Amino acid sequence: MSDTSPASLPRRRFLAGTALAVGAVAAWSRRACADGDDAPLAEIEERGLIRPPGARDEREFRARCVSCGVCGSVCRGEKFDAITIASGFDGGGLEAFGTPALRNMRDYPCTLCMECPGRCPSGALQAMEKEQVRMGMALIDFRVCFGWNGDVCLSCSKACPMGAKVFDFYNGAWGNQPYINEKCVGCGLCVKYCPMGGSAIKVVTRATYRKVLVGYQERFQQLLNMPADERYRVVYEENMPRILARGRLVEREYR
Amino acid sequence: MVVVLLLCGAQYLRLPLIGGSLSGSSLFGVVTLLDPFAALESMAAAHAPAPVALLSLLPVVAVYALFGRAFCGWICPMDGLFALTARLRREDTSPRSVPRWRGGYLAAAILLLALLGGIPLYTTWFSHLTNLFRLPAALLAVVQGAPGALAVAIWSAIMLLALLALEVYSPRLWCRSLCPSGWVYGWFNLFSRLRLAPLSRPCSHCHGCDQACYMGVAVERRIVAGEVRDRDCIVCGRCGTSCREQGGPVRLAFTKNPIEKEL
Repeated sequence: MSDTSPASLPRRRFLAGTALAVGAVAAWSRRACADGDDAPLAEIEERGLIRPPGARDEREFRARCVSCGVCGSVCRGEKFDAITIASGFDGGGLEAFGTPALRNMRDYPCTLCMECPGRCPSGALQAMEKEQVRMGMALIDFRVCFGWNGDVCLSCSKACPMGAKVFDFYNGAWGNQPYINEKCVGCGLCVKYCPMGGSAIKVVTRATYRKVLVGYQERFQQLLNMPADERYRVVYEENMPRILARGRLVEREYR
Repeated sequence: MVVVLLLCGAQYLRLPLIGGSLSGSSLFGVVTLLDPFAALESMAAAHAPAPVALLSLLPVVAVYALFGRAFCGWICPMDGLFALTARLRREDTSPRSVPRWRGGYLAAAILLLALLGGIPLYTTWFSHLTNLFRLPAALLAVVQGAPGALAVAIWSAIMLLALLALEVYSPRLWCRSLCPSGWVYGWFNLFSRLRLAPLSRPCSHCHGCDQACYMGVAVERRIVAGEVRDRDCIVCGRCGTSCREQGGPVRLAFTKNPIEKEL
């Protein structure tokens, strides 16, 4: 039936409506996933995806992953719900469509239960020890971390499943000043348990980490070596308004 | 097929029975399975085999070596959906004659694309074995707070609908000539144990079996010639049930030697 009678108009409207809906959802999901001003280190743009534990380099992972869904299924079965499906519009590029990724570390980090690597049928995720996991790297946002702004908070290091060897503390007058070193595997448990509103930690992919490392370490050294009056100004004039605005979520702290 | 769907459906209720999809799955957390074509595509994209992938292939290959292309006739959900589509069609048309070799060319093209592109494109984007199970998984992800997964759900739904639309246009064109997974399974028919059994009663040449077969297998000709292996046979058994001599000339059975009797 190829007529232009009113009978075909509903079909066109349906198609247009569907296309509009899909576009709206895509745009909305990009907004929803885009970190607002509330997120730690929002200026670091993350283009890649955090993969489930057991993924080695991204190219081999993408070649082997057949989007079977076993890893997401077992994560759901364990009630961690950390693994979701990438759509290609939310980081990782279109080639990441259908592949598993960890999206919301603030609420659903990886607990390193290590169930998913052993069950990947295609070998995209490989069984390994927790210490060998290379999901990403956690970066502390020194502008909003309590430990860098006059307080002693140990929540992130307490939540860390890798233990004390990941955290270096530069205890000083301005707090315990934690620094997450390269032994971090990127699970995101610290992100969840950080009591700063919106979290003070951001997990980035290893590729992004390599890109920002120099600048990040420069800022770190700058803070450590800052004269007292300048540090006072940074903490109380620059950082404190944001810290107060986001607030301390006591219920988040690791017990 | 329903049993498989139920077992696989349990994973959406957080029950660890069968996790994953028909492209790759984990049975009870103990055994992993991998679809042979998905395995080929994955290993082509990675330019190397993976021990885990080969291990996951073993149980599947063992089952297919026994049952041949029975997956298509008994487990593939598209078979059930296509049967439903056929019922919705008013006209009863037999499959159009399409040369069998097209399936192989498509499979080869897909594998070449994976080799060059480094991504298992077909299994990830287009395979019904993936899409059927990714649809509820993606919807669940949306409900659990990942709105982006809706795009994945919509895409999977579109792919399934496209297959059904193709089915309406040309019945079983997908199964007979296009499905690369099915094409791979067909090779197992050359040495599998379950297949068309030889004549034990005289064939009345009614061609009922040929008409019942939607895979386009020339059943009567094969049975009469004594040669019973056909890469298109999905062991569904319709030829046997439609045989007028009822279980005589045409039936499915596990046979040791295909040619046991003189005709």
